[in-house]
Amino acid sequence: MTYVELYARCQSLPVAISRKTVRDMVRELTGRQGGRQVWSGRLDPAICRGLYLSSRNPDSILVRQFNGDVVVVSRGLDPLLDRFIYVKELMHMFDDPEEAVDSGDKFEDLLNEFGEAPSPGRSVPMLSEYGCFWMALGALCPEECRLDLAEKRGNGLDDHQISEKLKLPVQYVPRLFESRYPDLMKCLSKGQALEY
Amino acid sequence: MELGQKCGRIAYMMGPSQGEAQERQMTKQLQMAKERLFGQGGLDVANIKLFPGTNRDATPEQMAETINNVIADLESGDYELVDESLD
Repeated sequence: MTYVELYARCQSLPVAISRKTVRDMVRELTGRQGGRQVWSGRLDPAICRGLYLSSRNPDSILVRQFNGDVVVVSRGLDPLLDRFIYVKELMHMFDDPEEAVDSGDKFEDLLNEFGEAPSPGRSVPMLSEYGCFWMALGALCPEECRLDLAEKRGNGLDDHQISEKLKLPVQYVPRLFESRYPDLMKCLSKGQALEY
Repeated sequence: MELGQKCGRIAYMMGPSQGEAQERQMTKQLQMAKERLFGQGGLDVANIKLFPGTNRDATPEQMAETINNVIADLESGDYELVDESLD
């Protein structure tokens, strides 16, 4: 899993890490040249705010225009949320074949699972949806920086200031300081799949 | 004719209810999305993943509909490439 290498490289970068920096590393590590971001006015943010698509059809717009991989985000979102959704979706360029949704049946299963209450027995593609959320956080917040912020948080530094520093949506800042975060990142930074 | 048969016949004559018609329409969106993504002559998608919307009660059919709209826009060039110099 090449996320291991991405995570390692991000540790020495100054924050805030730009989405283009992450994208360029993902391209280099996957050997794929796609991954551009586009905005769509018809991706209804109440229904779906972002979409990662990878195509194998050489005649399709996705291959001709975007080199195979594209991330679509709803137009007009908060800029920090827009950036985070893009990076989270970009992490799917690291999906292995088992995690990929590459058939109509798997696609229908994934849509159904989004509507379910959290339950045991999640499908592997759904687990990769969760995994990529944490992978994006891990890429955008080097561990040394996170530990420093954890110490200052509550001692004068609030989540809005952390959000501004890391350019992360403020609603996701507390996720960096959840007690399970170190264990989750330990797994992901070693290339191990998460279990729920 | 039994009452049950009569009711069935009346329902048949009236055609599908509004709810049934809506459901059929929605199922159509899911079928269309599957065809466009994975069907012959479609995008031959190797992977698709989603970031859910704010409405946690969104149905698979609604998600399929919005995905169909996006695919149509991508194919017709109705999208905006995001500036690479953004943070």
